Amino acid sequence: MISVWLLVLGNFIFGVFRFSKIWVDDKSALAATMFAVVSPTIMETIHVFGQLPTIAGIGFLLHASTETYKWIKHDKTFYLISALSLFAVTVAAHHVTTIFGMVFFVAPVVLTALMDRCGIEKVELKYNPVKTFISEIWKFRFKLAFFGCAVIFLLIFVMFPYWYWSKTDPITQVPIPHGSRDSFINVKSSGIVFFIIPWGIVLSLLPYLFGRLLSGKNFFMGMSFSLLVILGTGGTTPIPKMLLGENAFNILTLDRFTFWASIMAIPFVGQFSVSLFSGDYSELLSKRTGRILQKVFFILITIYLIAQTIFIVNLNQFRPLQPAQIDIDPITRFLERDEHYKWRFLTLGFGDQVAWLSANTNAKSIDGNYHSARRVPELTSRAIERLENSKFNGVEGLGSLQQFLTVPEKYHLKYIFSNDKFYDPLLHYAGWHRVQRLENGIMVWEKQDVKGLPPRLPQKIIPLYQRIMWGVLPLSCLIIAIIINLYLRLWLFRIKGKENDPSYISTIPHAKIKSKPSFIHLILLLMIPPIMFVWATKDIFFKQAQSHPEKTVMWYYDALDLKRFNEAHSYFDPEYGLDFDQYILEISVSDGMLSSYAKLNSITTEILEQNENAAKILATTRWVTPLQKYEHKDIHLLKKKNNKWYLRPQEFDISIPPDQFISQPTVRYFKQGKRRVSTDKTPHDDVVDRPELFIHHARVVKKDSLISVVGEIQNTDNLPAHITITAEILDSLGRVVTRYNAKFGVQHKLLPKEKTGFKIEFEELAWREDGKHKPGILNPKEFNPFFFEEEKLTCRIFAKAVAENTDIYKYGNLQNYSVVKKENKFCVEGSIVNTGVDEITIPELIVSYYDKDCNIEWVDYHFIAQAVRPQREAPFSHPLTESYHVQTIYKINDDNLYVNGLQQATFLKGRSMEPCVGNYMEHKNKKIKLDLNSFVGIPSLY
Amino acid sequence: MILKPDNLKIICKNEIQAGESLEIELSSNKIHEDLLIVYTQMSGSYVFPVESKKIITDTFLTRKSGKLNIRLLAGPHLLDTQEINILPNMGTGKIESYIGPKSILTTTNEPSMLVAIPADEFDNPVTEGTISDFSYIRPNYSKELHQIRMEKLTNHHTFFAQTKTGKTLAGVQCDNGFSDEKYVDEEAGWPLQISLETLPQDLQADGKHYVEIKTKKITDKLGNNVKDGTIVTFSISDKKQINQYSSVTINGVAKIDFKYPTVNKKYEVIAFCGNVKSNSMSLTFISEINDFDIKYDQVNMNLVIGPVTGTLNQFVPDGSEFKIGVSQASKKKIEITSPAQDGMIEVDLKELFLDKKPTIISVKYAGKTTLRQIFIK
Repeated sequence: MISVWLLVLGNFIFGVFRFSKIWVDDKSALAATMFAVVSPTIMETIHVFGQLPTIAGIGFLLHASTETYKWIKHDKTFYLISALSLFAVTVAAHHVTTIFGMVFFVAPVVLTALMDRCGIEKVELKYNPVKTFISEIWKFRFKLAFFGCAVIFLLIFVMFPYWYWSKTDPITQVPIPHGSRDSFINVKSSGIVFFIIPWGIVLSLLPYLFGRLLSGKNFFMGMSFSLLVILGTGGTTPIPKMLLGENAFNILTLDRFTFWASIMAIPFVGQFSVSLFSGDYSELLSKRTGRILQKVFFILITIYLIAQTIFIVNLNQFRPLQPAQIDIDPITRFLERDEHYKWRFLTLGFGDQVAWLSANTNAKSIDGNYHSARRVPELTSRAIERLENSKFNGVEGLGSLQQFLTVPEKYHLKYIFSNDKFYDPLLHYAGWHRVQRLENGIMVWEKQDVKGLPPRLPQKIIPLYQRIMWGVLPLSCLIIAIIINLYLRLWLFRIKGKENDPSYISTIPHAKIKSKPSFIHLILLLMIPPIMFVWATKDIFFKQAQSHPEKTVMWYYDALDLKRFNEAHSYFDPEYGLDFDQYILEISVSDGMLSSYAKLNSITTEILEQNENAAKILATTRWVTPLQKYEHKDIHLLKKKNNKWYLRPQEFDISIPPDQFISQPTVRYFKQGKRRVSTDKTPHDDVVDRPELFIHHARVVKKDSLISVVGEIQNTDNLPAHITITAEILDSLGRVVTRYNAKFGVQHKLLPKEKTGFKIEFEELAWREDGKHKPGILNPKEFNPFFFEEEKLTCRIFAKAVAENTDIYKYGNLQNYSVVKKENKFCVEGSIVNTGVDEITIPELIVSYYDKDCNIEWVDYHFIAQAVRPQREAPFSHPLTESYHVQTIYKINDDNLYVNGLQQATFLKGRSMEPCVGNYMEHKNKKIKLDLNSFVGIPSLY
Repeated sequence: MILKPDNLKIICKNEIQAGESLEIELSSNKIHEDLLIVYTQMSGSYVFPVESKKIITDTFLTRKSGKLNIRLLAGPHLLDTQEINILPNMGTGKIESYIGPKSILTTTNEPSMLVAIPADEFDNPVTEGTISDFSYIRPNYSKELHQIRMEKLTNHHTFFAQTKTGKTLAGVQCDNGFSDEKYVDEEAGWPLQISLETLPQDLQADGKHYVEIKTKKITDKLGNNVKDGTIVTFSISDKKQINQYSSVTINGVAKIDFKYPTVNKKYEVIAFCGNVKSNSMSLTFISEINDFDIKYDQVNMNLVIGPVTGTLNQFVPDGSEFKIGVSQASKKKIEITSPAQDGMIEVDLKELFLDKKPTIISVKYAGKTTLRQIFIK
């Protein structure tokens, strides 16, 4: 792999040298080549983004451009053949580079070559009038037309299977947001990554570059350069969108334009550096500042270059963009073991390593790297890159992930390899359970009761000729290009004696630089890098966080979000005596959704009271968690001391549990699986019977225009059960309209005789057949509800259970709860007490509403933000749903209730279940029941 | 053109045992070169040329029990056909057996079925009517033996749950064939009733400790303890608030640790398991907090409350929440909650942005309210 990189880089550097010689003299071309090695854009592309095809493509394009120039200039067929062979390789390496390269690189080179042709015919090198230039173009028209057609032919032919596939199976992916399309002023991080870093020190040379490029023979290149610079600014101005059109703007990533512009600038950077160290600029600097300051100037520029290089190369250390390297062997062994490869898997938190894992296993994943190639509607209709990093795509990404986790059987998805505990609560509450932690630290999650992939999967038949083309042409182009450019050239020059033919000499005459060196350019070169540095880092070093109480609060939450606890602690008033060790200790024992699984989305502050030295601020923070969005309000008290505002530390729970050492008698379960160690199928004797369930009642209801199915289900067996409840809605003709599983609104694990309410909320796209649904309008909401077209609906419920042995924690209890009235709304308030030995990381309250006959009417669920440690409490408050908001559409009768595949009515055998036995709370002639579901983030087992 | 040979017949036995070699003799010595013999079974047809008057069939053709059809062909002409019955041998080896459901309830006399398919060495089910011995050891350690005849290629026996919980072990034997040991769990049925153990009364309402509440043994109608891990929910409520605790049964008993309240309480305790609920028990708590002081430090604008102690003259538990009300004329009452530490509560009134006028402070804890008037300067 390293050798491939070295070859590609070597080809690129050589390409820069040859390309530079079109525009500048040999010495400048050499300087440009040296600069290319440390060019910020190249370093970023290699060390941060790792884009091998891009570098390979641009390398070959530079060579091809040079050969094109020579062909037009000297009109020698060999150069045409050479250029076309290199274009073919460019297409094979990176087709987008060829498409845009023709416009931005080759077109100006062709026009410049034609200008040079006009100049060479005359004794003096001076620019011809327009008429002569146009006549030159006219003379060359057939050859140019042939050249254009040849390149287009190569572009189509070499990549023909790709174009054919794109045409017959068009891309339906909705645009995926990308930082290069942001406004770099509003989104500073995008500006740094996609503008400041790739330009680097060259940004300070832009006035010089525009001056050089927009004059003389460089004019056409200058126009191209200017266009690229503008397009590379992304959404900072409306110009790129106007130029590209909405569609192209939303599909393309615009950082490529900055990349190409900075490549285009390299020859002139080389020219400037020669002038700076030994030419006009050197003389000017020496004259204006003296020799000593001149040397100081050189030292500073060198320091800038070195600092820039070190920073970019090590950017991944300062701000890791990828997780640490994962050893994939334990994962591939797991997949190979016991036929686990017969199901699909998904990875979470793997970064780009998901591709490496996929390449090393035959097992199939539902996720992938190449966004344009995917066909799954749940992905193509959402603006997310990959499922595996959905947390970075906010509610959009998590919403898409949730659909896969809720109905995994649709894609035969059974295993998830998680490298990020952020997703743990989502996996648990969507009905997944932990299987084991592999030797590499990856946690394996499993969904019970998912069928394996069918033995034969649908396969697109690619015609044989296309398969041959795809396998043979790209490499053949490379081999042919090597033969032509190395061996044939050698034969021509050495053996055929062409080395004295001036048309084959690579020296290109250049026009002298007419413009005078400007001292302003030097000042900009000195000043702009530190200004850029200050702008980029002002939020770190120059933020003056404590100059205002609201700013203090905002920077405090920012520090908390990024886990910069030292900084967060520095905002506390020392008067309160909270030292850093105590603070960190308090943080470490505070767990829960907001402490451990949330990302800060936004924060607003409001001054409630303020005088000269004290302030009371209401901070409203909005958090994105894997389960839901949170809005949290906190009141902060601040004091001003020595012109800085300090926060009063928030109170920490100082209650002490009564017991130092707790013992908890419990029942634990273990499922043997295959008792004989064998690769054979699981024998009948080792299959545990499905636990029996009973659906007490269920109905289809409507609330706020959304249709849901609610009901109550009980585990009537003596085995603990993992349950999956599916509701199927049918129209008046008995056709299935939609089908979905219960997600958060149910306890997925029930102990013997345990009851739970359940709610199934239907989401869009879950059961649309492939190819029959077009992705709809981008919906930024996490929950994408399914809208029913008719009201005459019936429903079937399918409940199935498998024996469960893990992740069952029932030691959370509800304390002192009652219905209270708050701001004209009724709420149920109380607290959760943990009498077990594990911390309940994220408790969930399931609130079931019944009529006076104990028939279920509605089910709510509510996640509590705070964790509950053993023998401690956490408060909760949940607003009640008033019954008039809920309308019953259809009561589901026993014939439409299926348990473990059988109609419930057939196996009940006259068994009846007593209603209304349980702990109910009365409220307005209705009954309410609360159940607690617990997620233990770090169980003692793992 | 192939002429039909005259009067060529197949002579052989009508019945053979599986795996036995079959001797076939033709009625004439005139063996035509186009003569073919075709064997047809369920697995397919096999065609062989006839080379002599006596034909010994390969034993692979006679392994599978059932009908073996033999046809003698001369080109397109069917000369003769015979049907042989291949009989299975005696049962041998491992008997394929299944049992299910694998758990049955004692209270509803639920059935389970043991199915066995004894077979010979060629995997042929033994002859219809062959007797197999179905043996059981029941949870009460009694042994049973049932002789079951082979019917329609299987033997099956339905047995019913008895009254005692435990494992029923089963095995099958037929001739020289034996099955693996099978088992069925006979489990307790639904709980019949729940009773609570007597509860202590007049406990100290310190908001810290836990009191154990447990059930007596929960059994089904046959006296079997409900299965370990059965959930039991406890409701501990007064007229205003409810407490809901859950636990699981171990040896039929479920217990919880209920946290003491901080105020006087009289609770009603009920337990639920399955579809039954227990008797109701009362549980009372008494709060005894000694009188405490409220001091005001005018210089630092600091309220110091305490020391607050309980019956044992011990500090109230750290973290006990005191509700402090601050009232000033023509201003909305401010209510804050402050935790006690080492029996003391401190409140910084500077943070409340109060006016400089008389102020009423009320401190409420464990049902006790103490008032004090101060003057903010």
